[in-house]
Amino acid sequence: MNEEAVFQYIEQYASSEELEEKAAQPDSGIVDLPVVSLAQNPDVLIFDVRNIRILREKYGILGVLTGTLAQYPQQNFFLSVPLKLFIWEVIWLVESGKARLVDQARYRIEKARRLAEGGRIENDNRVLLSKNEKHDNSKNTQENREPNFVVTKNTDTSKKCEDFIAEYEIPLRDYLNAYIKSSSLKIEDILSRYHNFKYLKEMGFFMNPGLKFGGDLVIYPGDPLRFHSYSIVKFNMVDLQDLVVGGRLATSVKKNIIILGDEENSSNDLNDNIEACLNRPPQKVAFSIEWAGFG
Amino acid sequence: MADEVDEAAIVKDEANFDVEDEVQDWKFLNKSLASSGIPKRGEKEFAPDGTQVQNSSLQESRNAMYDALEGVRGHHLKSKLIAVWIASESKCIMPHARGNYFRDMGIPIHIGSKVKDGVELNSLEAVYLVERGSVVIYLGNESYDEFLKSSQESEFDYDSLIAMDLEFLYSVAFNNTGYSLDQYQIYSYLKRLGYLVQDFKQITKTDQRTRLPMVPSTLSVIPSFLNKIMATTVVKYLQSRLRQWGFLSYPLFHSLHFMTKHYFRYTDIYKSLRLIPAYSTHDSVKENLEASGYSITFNVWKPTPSFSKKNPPFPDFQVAVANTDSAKFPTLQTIQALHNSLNYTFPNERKTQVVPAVRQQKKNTMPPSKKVIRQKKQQERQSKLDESVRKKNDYNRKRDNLLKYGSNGRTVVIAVIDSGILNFVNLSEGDFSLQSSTDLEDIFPREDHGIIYNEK
Repeated sequence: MNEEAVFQYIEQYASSEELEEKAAQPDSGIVDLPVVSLAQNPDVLIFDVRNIRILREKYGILGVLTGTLAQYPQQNFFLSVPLKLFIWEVIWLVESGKARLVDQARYRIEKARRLAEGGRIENDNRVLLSKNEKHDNSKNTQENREPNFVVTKNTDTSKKCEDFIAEYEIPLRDYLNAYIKSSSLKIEDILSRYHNFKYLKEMGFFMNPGLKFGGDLVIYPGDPLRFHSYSIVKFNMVDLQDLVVGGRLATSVKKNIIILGDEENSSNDLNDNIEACLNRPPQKVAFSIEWAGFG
Repeated sequence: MADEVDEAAIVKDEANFDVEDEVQDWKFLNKSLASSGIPKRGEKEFAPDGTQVQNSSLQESRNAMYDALEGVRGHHLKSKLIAVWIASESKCIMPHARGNYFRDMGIPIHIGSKVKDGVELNSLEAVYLVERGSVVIYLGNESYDEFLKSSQESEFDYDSLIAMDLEFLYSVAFNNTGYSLDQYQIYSYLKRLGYLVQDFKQITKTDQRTRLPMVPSTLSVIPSFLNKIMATTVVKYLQSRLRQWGFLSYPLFHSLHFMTKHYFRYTDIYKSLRLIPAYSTHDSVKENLEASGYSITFNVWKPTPSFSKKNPPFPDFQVAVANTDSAKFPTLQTIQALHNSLNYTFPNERKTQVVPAVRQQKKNTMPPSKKVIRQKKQQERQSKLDESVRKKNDYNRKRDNLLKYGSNGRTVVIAVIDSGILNFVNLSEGDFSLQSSTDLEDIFPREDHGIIYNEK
């Protein structure tokens, strides 16, 4: 795989000025990651397409689309916002200073309260949609200019309120504690898996969750919209049978399987706090395996 | 006799391929969905080569995706459907429910003289309807509460309320409402496929254990008085601990501990080796089991035109949602407990189906399908066979089915989520002993239809 090309191509978009202009927070450049509910649903869901774009093109973070696509609401092939980020993506973005976590429920309720208090409720949820856009400019009568559709927006992008979102920032430590509480994984497993993700991320791969192909991650040499994946990553192999199962499965979907783990004696000292451990990656070793179907 | 077994037909590769597994090319969105319904697989490449051609075609796909995500979510003003989120009660009220969506959704409500055809929606239903653009939702406030209570005013200006965007709705709908995002993902996936979905509830008045008919118990390796000691929680706990540490590979009061260990028959050896005694249909219903970490979340029905929200029929599927992050691998006990909490009727409770009066069938002008032809051929072939052989075939087919799917048909679907990726697993109760099967009894009356080896 041509790593340099991947880097070049990520950098190309990172430097694109057009992208900077479209950034949601042009001053800080830090992406807001809305956490739905810290106590019950510590998931990060992104609704702002500008942020989805920045994450994808600038940072190579894909996430998974989970919402109904309103244009075609009875199918599951093409989905829409929210974009759900998985835990390793969230930690990586926040830890490297590219994003911050926001307590969305509390922030939005406060924002609504301030709006109502100031008496500044102006709903712009009506739009004009013409059936035939070709005739849009030429044959519009007065009547047709009235809005005819009522809509629900992805997110609120207006600047009706002064910016106070920073008050609702969640420190990474709090977020991790909430995640650990709801997870059955041990802290050392979470750290080890995160470092696996980070190791591959820093090599320039694009990553998706691996359950579709029976692994922990699926990695792509570039944006999966354009490029095939040829590797499934697995973090743990228990025995030889796992090895064969993984190899056969991966080969049947034209991929190879990569086993990734820590070099011996290089794992973290767990007496330190979590944030310190996140910064100290252990040495990683990886092997790729293909099932040798003789004959 | 191999050509009689239909199930053995080899599944071809293409049939196994699931389009949903692939990362879709958004460029095909408008073309494919409008025409055929199933998107084609896009042409993809193997590695970035830095060429302009590649970059621009990638950007084209990306832009198609962003455009689709920014697409309009809404409906025509003439058929405007309004809902109001009542924050104090964590629910959603729709004062005037119109349209096809409420066959399975919402609880009808009446508030004074104003709200007559209204429904109350839970978080899942509200988010689903707003997300597909069928409903616009506003954030309720005190003046709306007063409007609902007062008897004079009949009109309300909804523009005095804040119109909620989707992000806002998600953040209140899944914050301390008892509904999780995982549940919503499964819910909306099934709804998009057209299924009718409701929160799980018991349709019968009493649970399975109280309705269990008396059935003859299976042979047990454990004497009955010991069984009682076994059932105490302390013993159960100790036993599970010991097994975890590998000390006790078979049950504490298993006869193997007490009997002399001389074997004269193979059956005895096999019996002494088994860890989980084979149990027959409905044996697990008798125990009071607990499903740790799992519970059934939804009742699901295939779309039917005659569905009644008030008196729903028995669900076609019952789904338990589990996340790979938090749920542990289900134990036998958990699976049995899930089976015990299902909506289920025992065979003696089932009414014979009333066959609807034969309607005048339209003459089918289409040529018969391959499946019909194959069935016909097989029937012809069967009819040429000897009576005893036919009986034997029939018996084997029925028995295979019973072994495969269990003789009681209790099935729970586990919906597994891993970082937003969905998987559905079907768990039925197998039955290897087949002790009380009237179906098989009718064909070949014998003591035992099971596949457990019994030496005579």
